[in-house]
Amino acid sequence: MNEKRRLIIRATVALGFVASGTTYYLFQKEEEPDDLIKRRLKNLVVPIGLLDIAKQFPNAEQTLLQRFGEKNISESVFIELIKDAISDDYRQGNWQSIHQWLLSYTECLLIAAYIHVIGIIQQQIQQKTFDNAPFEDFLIVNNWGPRETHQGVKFNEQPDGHCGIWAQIENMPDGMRVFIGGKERNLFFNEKGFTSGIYDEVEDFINRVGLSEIVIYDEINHRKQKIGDFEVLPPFDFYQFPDGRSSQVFGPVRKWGPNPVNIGDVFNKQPNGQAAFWFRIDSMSNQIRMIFNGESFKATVRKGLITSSLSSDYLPTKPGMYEVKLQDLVTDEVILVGELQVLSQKTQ
Amino acid sequence: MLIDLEKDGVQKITSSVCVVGAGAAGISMALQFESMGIKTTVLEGGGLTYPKPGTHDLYDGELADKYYPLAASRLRYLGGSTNHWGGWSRQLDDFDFMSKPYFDVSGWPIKKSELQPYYQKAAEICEINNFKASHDGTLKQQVNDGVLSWQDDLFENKFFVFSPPTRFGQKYLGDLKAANHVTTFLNANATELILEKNKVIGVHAQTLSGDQISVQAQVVIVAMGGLENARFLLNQRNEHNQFGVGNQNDLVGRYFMDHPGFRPIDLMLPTGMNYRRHAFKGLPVMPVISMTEDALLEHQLNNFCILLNQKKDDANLPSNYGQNPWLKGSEKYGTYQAQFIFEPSPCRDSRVMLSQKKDQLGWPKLKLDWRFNDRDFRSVERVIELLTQSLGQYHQGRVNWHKQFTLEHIAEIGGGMHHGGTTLMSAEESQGVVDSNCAVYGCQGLYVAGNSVFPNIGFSNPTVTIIALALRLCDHLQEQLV
Repeated sequence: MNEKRRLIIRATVALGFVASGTTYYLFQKEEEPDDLIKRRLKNLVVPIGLLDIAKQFPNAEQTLLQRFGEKNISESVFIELIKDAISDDYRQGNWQSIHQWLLSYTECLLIAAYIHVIGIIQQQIQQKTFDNAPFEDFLIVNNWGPRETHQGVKFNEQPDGHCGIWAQIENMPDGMRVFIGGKERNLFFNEKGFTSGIYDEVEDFINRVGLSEIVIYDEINHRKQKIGDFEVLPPFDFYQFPDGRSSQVFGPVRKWGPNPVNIGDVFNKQPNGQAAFWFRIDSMSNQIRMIFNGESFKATVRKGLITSSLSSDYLPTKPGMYEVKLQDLVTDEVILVGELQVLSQKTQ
Repeated sequence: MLIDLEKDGVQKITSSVCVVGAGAAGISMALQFESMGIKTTVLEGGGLTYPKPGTHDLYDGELADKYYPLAASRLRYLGGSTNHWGGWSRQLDDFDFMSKPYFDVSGWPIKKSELQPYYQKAAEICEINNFKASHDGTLKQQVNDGVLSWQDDLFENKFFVFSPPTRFGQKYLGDLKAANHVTTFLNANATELILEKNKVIGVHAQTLSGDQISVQAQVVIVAMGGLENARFLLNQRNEHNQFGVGNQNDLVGRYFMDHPGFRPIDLMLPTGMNYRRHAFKGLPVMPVISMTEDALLEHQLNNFCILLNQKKDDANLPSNYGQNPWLKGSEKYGTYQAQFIFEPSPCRDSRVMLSQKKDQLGWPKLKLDWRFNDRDFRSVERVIELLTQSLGQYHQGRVNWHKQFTLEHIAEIGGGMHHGGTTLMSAEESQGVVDSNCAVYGCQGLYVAGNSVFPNIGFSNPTVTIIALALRLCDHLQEQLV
């Protein structure tokens, strides 16, 4: 008996499932076209910048339904269909210029339909700028310079008058910009990193004592990294002439050399075979010549250091004392550095 | 031997060959003649280091409508413009040597295979260790990361390789000083060919302060660069050469070409594209986008390449647009600025002429009228269409075409400072200034070396081809002189 009841219950339940399933199937609501479009397009990514397409393709949904309205295709088949259609568009030159982007006709229909049916929420997008970029260490900076100057003194002066700053950076990526003292500056890439500098307002820059941050801004990934601080130091003391006047160009000579030297020696010999003097001295000017034994020689000016070389043709041939002077070509000011003592023979 | 004409006045010298100009071509030839034991004099207008203002002023000139940096694009001292060369190196393509019916002046009168043996030697002179790999398919096969895998027969990746760059003046100064058969004069500005009717027998040169030298030579090779070669020949006017030497067909100075750079499009592509100079197997390479020879011919295009630099996302089509299934879907995309370097087709009205103004030595300065054929712009436009097609069709990317060839934008086009054309090579005297051995038509003993003889310049930087052609000229002259 129990077995019989059990069978009757099982049969009733089974019949019930069949009946309810049949009822659901028979009375299922037809999917609305918009719902079909929504289902098919829901995973698309449509940026706000393409909003205009919606107006240019007012009947996008109808066109899409005519072309891809078959209900029983799977999502993956639908994707293959639209990819094929887009391929065909490009093959046939069937594209539209949307904000100068050349998008396929089918692509435009899909985007327009998405906007019509699903819509885009207009978000307040924060403008990405140097100022609001977060600091992050993304560059390997091996070295950079120059790092300081004295007030009023041009540093690493280039032929066009700008003051150059360089940095050695490994694998410098694209899209970098450089800001020095909060202001964007010219940036020139090279294999080793970049060169930049102060191109305009040079006088303002070198006369403002203090620190200026050097920062690289990666505008592609919206991040920035500090390279270091360039410092404008207070002005140096000036050289005093014997008559009490103060030099307008040179600081006091702290040290210079070599002195003395032996006759016939190419002293402080340089890679080019020339003899060379060095002077520990600050200079406001980069256009300096050295005057030695009545002849004028080109000089190289770095921070706190002036060097000048001369070929062996100009080395003294007699022992004695020889005046060494520095001359600024801008003001014509000349200071006496000292006298080079040329010895007649080598001493131990 | 190296002599500074400003310091050591020499009035007269005799040699087999006189090379005028000590740039890439001049120095390469000097060293080659040295190895051949051919007595050679080299005249260099500048000194050993960056030119003094007076010296560089000799490069001043006039411009017609379009701007060109006449002085800044050249350097007048030992090594010439290799002193500011970026080291970019690449052979010309086979396509560049071919006759193209859609160009006014088309193809070279020699085949690339004639230059091939000299290219490798040129690469050695320029200290390029992966030169062969750039053209024999090795790099194309092996450099797969960061470049597009083209799905059609239109586009392909090509490769630049790099010289350190070799500064010829510094690198080969020791060799020039030590040379037994070559004497190089510094600060010796060539002013006048010494001619006997239509035969050259030497060259006059002088310093800015007036010291003069006369070089008697069986052969004179003008290797002063694309602008100066033409100006020098145009300035050689006498009863036999009323309009300048080699100019009997009004061709000297014509067909001036440089590699125009233009940025008409941006591309949306997967991030990580590495179309930039980078190290591959320890040596620098730079992939560029270009086109197959068949496609160039089929679509009647000028040769070109495209360089890419990633830039900030475009606001209208930001990187997440690449997540759509009609692109690659899962990859991250970015926006790239695309720079075209395109081959200019030879344009007869693009030319170097003589100005009414004179330089410090009393010779007319040059006047440059740089022009393009309209077809050059149409060619770039067609390439953009084909690129749009190719990237879109294979779901690789999208093109933003934001700049057209308007008059304003044409005016902005700059050059690569590769002064080509002006003394074109042709098998027909009526069509060119020099023959296929670089000998000037109508002037026995006079030759031209350099970019100025290139009838078509492709998109490759010219230095290695200049040197290869110069070395070929040395071999040609050796047969006559030894």
